[in-house]
Amino acid sequence: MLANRFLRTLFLTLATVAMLVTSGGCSKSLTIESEFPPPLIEPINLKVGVRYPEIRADYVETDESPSRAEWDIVLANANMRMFDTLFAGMFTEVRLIDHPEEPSANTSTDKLEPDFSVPFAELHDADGNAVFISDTSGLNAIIEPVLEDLEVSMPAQSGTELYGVWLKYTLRVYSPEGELITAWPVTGIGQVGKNSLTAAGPVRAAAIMAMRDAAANIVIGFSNEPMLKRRVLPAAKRQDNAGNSDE
Amino acid sequence: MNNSRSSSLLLIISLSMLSGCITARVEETKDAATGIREGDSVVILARSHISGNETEIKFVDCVADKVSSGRGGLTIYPADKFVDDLFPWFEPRTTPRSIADLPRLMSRPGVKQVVENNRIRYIIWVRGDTDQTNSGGTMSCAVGPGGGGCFGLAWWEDTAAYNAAIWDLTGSVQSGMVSANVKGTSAVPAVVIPVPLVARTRVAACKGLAKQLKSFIATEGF
Repeated sequence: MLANRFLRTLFLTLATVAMLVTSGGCSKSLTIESEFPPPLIEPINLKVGVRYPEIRADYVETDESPSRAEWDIVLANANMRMFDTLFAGMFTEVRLIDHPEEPSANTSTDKLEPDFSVPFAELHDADGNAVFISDTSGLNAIIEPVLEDLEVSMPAQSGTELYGVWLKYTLRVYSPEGELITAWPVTGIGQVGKNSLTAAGPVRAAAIMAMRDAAANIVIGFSNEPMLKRRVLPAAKRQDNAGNSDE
Repeated sequence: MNNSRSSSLLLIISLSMLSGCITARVEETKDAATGIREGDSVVILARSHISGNETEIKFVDCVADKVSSGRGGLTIYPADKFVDDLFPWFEPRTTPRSIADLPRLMSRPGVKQVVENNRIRYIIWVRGDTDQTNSGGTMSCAVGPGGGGCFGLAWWEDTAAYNAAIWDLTGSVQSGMVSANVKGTSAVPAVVIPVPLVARTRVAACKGLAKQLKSFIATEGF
């Protein structure tokens, strides 16, 4: 009798916990940490400044799926690490530029007013060593990678066994004088099958895969983006020729 | 009384260790001469547009494990490291779809050097899946104040169909294909206690494919 009562209580408790866990409205936070490999390509002969306007601070993307489970995905460090490694492998020279205290909130502007009086401070080279520069003269372009959108798809939504993450970056490329050359949209997608009881593992893996996919897109698409082809890449050709004639 | 209980337990354990019925067919087609030198390695990758499929990862891991172990085991270059070393050329978006894409990939800056420096001779692309193809039977279970039990027979059939394409990186040619088709029938007969007789079709396919791959690559010439 006592055992029956105990079992009934246990069952009710477990059922309540299960309902609370699976019910909507719960928020799940996921921080993406990963190392990204450098691209295996011939670096483009360009001196590029990289500025992280909005993802310097923790960048949190929230996806509210129909199951009402909210996902807060923190990509800040992983994003910067990926772009640092990516650009260091893509270009002959990369300078990391500290952004002014007020990040460029004006996303639609055609003209960025770069505050070059701001201490450009601490930069990092391809090996992650600190490098200091006093100005941006001599740069061929300034790139601002901005994460615009992030969507998470759960198996219940897609009707498949897959967890999916979709990312959209915009690579704003400016001339050293601050003129917006192009705002190039780049997407990345990652899909991962169920491989654990919880969703965190597959969602994390799908996010990393989506970031790698976006990076691959940037590597293979950079030389074909029309405005970059017209405004930025000729400098690489000139620098190649100058290098050849010096030899 | 104790003896009878021990005997029953032994019978149950023995029955549960029995496996279902399996039929396997492993085939190969060779298109180019093979062979491998000491120190050369192979990399085994899943041919899928969707990475992270746990079933697929486990199967590829199983094949890699079996190919590298035992007599005549081959040296395996870790798949993750290979994909990172050659980033971004083996991402789902960029990976070579057919052997015709391989010469272009090998001509990209740095790719040949990575392959040669690590002495990676072959890429083995594994593709396939294990599906339940048939099922039937009935089983009913009941619990009463005096205890419980099941009665009946349930069965199902799994088909594991996998193939592996072998690319020779030295000549940028497809050396051939190895395929494994395994059908297994599992059953759960129950007279009071259900006794599962599970056919491990995926494991059988892994073992069959790995054994054939070892022989395919190690056999010099055609």
